[in-house]
Amino acid sequence: MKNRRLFPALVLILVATIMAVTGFMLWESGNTANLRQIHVIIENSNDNRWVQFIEGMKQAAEDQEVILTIVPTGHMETLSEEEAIIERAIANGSDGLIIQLCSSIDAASMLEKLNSRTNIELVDENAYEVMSNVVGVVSPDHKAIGETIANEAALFAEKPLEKCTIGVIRGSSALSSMEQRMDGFTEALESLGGKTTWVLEQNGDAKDIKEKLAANETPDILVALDNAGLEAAGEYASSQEKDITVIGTGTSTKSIYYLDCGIVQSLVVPEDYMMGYQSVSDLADYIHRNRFLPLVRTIAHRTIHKDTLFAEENQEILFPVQR
Amino acid sequence: MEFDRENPEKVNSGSSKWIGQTIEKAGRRGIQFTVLVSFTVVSVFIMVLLGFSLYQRFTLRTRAMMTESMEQLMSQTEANFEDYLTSMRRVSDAMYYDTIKDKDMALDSLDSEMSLLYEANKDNLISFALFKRDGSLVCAAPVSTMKEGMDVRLQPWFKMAMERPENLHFSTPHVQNIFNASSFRYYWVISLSRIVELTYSGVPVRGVLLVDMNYNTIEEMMDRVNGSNSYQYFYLCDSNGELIYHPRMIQIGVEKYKENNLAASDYEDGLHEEIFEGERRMVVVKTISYTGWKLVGVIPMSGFRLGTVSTQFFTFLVLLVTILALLLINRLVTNRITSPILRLNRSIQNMDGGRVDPDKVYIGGPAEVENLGRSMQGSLRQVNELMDDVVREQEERRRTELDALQSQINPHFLYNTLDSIVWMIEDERNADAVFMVTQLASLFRVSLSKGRTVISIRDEFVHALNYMNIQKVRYKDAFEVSWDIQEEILDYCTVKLILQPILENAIYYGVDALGDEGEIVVSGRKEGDDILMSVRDNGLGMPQEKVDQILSDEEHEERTHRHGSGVGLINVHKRIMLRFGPRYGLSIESEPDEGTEVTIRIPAVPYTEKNRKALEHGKWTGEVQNEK
Repeated sequence: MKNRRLFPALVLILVATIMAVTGFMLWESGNTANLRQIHVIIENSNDNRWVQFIEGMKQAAEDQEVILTIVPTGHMETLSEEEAIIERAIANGSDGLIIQLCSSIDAASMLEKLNSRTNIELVDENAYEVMSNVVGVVSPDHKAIGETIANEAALFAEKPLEKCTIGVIRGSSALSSMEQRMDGFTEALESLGGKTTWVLEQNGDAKDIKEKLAANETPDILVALDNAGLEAAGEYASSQEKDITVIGTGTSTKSIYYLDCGIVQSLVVPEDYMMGYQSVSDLADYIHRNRFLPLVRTIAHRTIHKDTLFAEENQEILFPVQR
Repeated sequence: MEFDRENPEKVNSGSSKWIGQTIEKAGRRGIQFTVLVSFTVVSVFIMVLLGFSLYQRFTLRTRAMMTESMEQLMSQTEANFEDYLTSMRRVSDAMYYDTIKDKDMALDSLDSEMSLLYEANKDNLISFALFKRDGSLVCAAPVSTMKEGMDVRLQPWFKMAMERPENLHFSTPHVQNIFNASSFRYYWVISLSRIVELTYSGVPVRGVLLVDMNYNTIEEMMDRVNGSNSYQYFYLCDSNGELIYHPRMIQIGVEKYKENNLAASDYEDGLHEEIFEGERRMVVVKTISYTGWKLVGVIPMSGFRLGTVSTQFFTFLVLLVTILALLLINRLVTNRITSPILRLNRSIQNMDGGRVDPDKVYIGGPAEVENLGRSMQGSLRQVNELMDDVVREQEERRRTELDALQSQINPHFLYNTLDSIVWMIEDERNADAVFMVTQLASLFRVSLSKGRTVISIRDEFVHALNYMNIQKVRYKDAFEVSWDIQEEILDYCTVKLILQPILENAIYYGVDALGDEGEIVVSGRKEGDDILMSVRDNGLGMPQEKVDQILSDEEHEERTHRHGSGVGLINVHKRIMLRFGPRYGLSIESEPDEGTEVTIRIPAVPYTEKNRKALEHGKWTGEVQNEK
């Protein structure tokens, strides 16, 4: 009797296991066949400053087997403009978004709203006091960058800081990252005895910043707190007869060129390659696991002078081979 | 299981006991189960063995194929590299031997020739440049200005050329940094440098010719090779292990990835196995001639195996399906083999419990089982015949014994009765003599009953009445007999002459000694499915020990030799039991000085011809046939 029951039980168990394994394999193959898609929304996507960042993202996309789509964008004035682009990306079947905010104001509510619909990774913005529980963040330490720039200014100043006129070109005040850089710079500068003479806010319009620079006193030290500002500062300094010490942060070839030419004395370079690589890796990981555990990551930055520009350890980061 | 050092045999005996028990347990299971399990275990074992050896062969074959394909790919890439590098060397040679050597730098310009050569090769080149030994630029194509403060003598390519003037030198990739970057562009290059002899007003002067090869060309060649397979990858390093190309060059630069390039630079050309970062991998190395660069192909061992999760699941699925198929096929085969044996087994299963009809024995299946069935059928027939013979013989013996017993009673009784009749005739009591003769005739009629053993209770009581009437005459009415018999029991079957011996005993051992006070009560009634007939006397009675002895076999043997004193009772008891079974027979209740009651219990079998014949031939099944 026992034997009579044993055989059907054994067959039943085997059939159940076969069905379970087949089901799992079908589910798995369905998952593999549909490669996940990540959309990247960054301001001025074709800008040379993103070269390292995009290379990092491409490598991570290859490693994580996801499709990377960099949405072509220009200058985004308002958050609603950016939101419209995000909505299009979601409508196109995006499994995850990598976003660089054009404004931090009201960004938290927008991100919270979007987060229920897709996974979001925020880059170049570390306003994680309000967002870290909603989205993943990969960003440089903006305050530390500001402090480094101030220290570099002190290092390259040809006279004591307190006697120097210091001009600052900063990015949009709507961005909390820029506020942090400014705070870091101002605090460090003051601690070193310096004081900003004037501060210009550039909004992406090259002509406008040129006019603003011309309208101000020619400084001894010109500080740029973002890449666009540094390019403007380099151009301005190269056109001036007076020797201006230019310090700033940037990643574009133009910024590097100004350092190579000796127009810029010190360049603080965030490791954008790592920012790109890490953001895609984290987001792909979230998507593949089907659960979102927001991580806040801070990437490092390097200080590069003319003599270390072509050092072996900096070449790969500053001049990534574009594929 | 722990090994007992003191007594190793204990462990052995434990193991053998376990094995023995297992074998015994398996043996106790059905043949179908044993065959099925044996088939399945053997099939699965063979399948696993086959699968394992196939897997091994598959792995080895895959490994050989992958290595072969990698070597082919590498040979092709190596050839492409050599073509490219040879063409670059030729460009350098052309520049040097066809142009520089023919010119006097003090008088002639190289610009046009250099530009022409650059234009012809600009897909693979970034720039040409000729430097004097002091590092000053002689000319360059495309026309560029050197960076302010640039001292090319500090550049590695310059140093290498100066250190080993006899060779052409290929640098590792680097960003070109000696000229002002036009339109903010920087290029990755590999510098091919060599010492050249410049002529200034007839005076030879050393200089360095630099050909900056476009790194993109090399990268594109390597990217093409790397794009083909996800498991394997290729990288390029120089003779010191410095990476020239790696698919994860930047990650290695920021120490997010590691490569065993330093060790690979020491490898000879060919196939190598290595363990790097805990992973076993195959490495194929090819050295590119002249440059000393090593083209390295890496295949992680996991690529040869069933590495991916889906492949592992697929293998598991195949294994499960095969086991299921084996189980079902084995079950089918087992059923085909064992079904006739099981049917044969079922058909003879009740052989121990009694008679089996030989025609019901299963005959069929394979020849062996059919033969077995036929043999079994033959044996059963023989056994049944033998059993019938035994029964017949026993019946015969019983009948003979009965006849002997009956003949023991008759002469004594007949002598006494005839004696009484003679005495009556002599006394001229003719009527009494007639009565006696009539009773005796009736008694013998019932005794004979046409030779039947089973008669109706009615006849049995008639016989008892005749007997008692005769005895009463003989004993001169010294005792009283009363009859209490239910009418309904008269037409049931009984074994004949069972009351008479009891009545005889009641007279001889019961009431004979009491004089005129003797009293015998004969009663008969139906109780459930049984019929009870009893003979009670008020005679001397007997103690319980005596009662117990009367119906025992030992006592019977003893009494048979002594004759009398209860021989009749045991005979009656045995005859009833023989006919109806052990449930039936006599029971005796007796109290000394009170009397004795002997009760006969027989089944209530209606007296019909069919029932009578069945009882006569010992074929009574115990079921009462109510048909009358």
